[in-house]
Amino acid sequence: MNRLVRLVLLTAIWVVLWSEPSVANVVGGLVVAGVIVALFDTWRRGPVIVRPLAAARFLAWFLWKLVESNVVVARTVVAPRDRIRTGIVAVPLRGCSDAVATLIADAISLTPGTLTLEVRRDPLTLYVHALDTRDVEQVQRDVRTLEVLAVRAFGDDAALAGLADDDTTSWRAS
Amino acid sequence: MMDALTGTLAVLGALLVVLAGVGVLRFRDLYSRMHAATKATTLGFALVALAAALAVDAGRGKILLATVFIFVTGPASAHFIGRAAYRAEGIDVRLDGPDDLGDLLDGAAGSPGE
Repeated sequence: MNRLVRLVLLTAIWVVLWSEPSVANVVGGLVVAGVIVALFDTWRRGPVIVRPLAAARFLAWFLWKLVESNVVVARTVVAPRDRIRTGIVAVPLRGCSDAVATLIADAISLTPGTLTLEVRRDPLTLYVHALDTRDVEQVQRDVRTLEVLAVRAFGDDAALAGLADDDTTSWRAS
Repeated sequence: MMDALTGTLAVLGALLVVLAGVGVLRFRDLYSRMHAATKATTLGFALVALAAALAVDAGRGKILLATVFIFVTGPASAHFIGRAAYRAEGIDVRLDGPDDLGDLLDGAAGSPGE
């Protein structure tokens, strides 16, 4: 099932790139997509979960943060540099799937003042470069907010249960 | 009306990319520079692409697809540049504050699988 979804998705991308849903394009896309799906089977681990409402919330929050992040960078570029105190902070995650961890790592790099440098397993930990580490806990809280939103949108039940155990985020759960 | 909208979006996007360039020049170390380069170019590209998608008659799908790819590949490449820079020699990656990654790598020094 997972493979079928990827096949359809890749074919759709192919057809869009050719601008025209002709028979030749669809067949060509199916062939290319088939080869890719057969050769690269890296996404087989775990089912793909999408909760539409939570996903919309994640997207809205992410887009807002992207705008905010640009304002922050713009301000830091123009204004004096006394706000900068760079550092690398380790932020443990609470056991989400590889796909969700990738999403979180990507989103961190596009949200204000943070950049993912390294991902470690066992325990799953992100190493985040931050422009402002005067408050390390604030940096960690920001990443965890992102984690909560991402896991609610795309995480499996085990990851969701993991969130509930944590005090720092439970106030957002209700 | 439509022209005003597309114009505003395009100029705003271009401004962000210019700011990113200034940031790359002004910041003093590699990571600070990458903050500017990664975020501003991603949103900057998205705005210019949105303007282009509104302006053209055909090929909107392609433009939007390109935007999606920029959003996926931008952070990934930044991640790998940053990761490589930390391990390379002769690159200015100085930090003012904590360095948890350095602590991790020091602790694991000599172990395989780096």
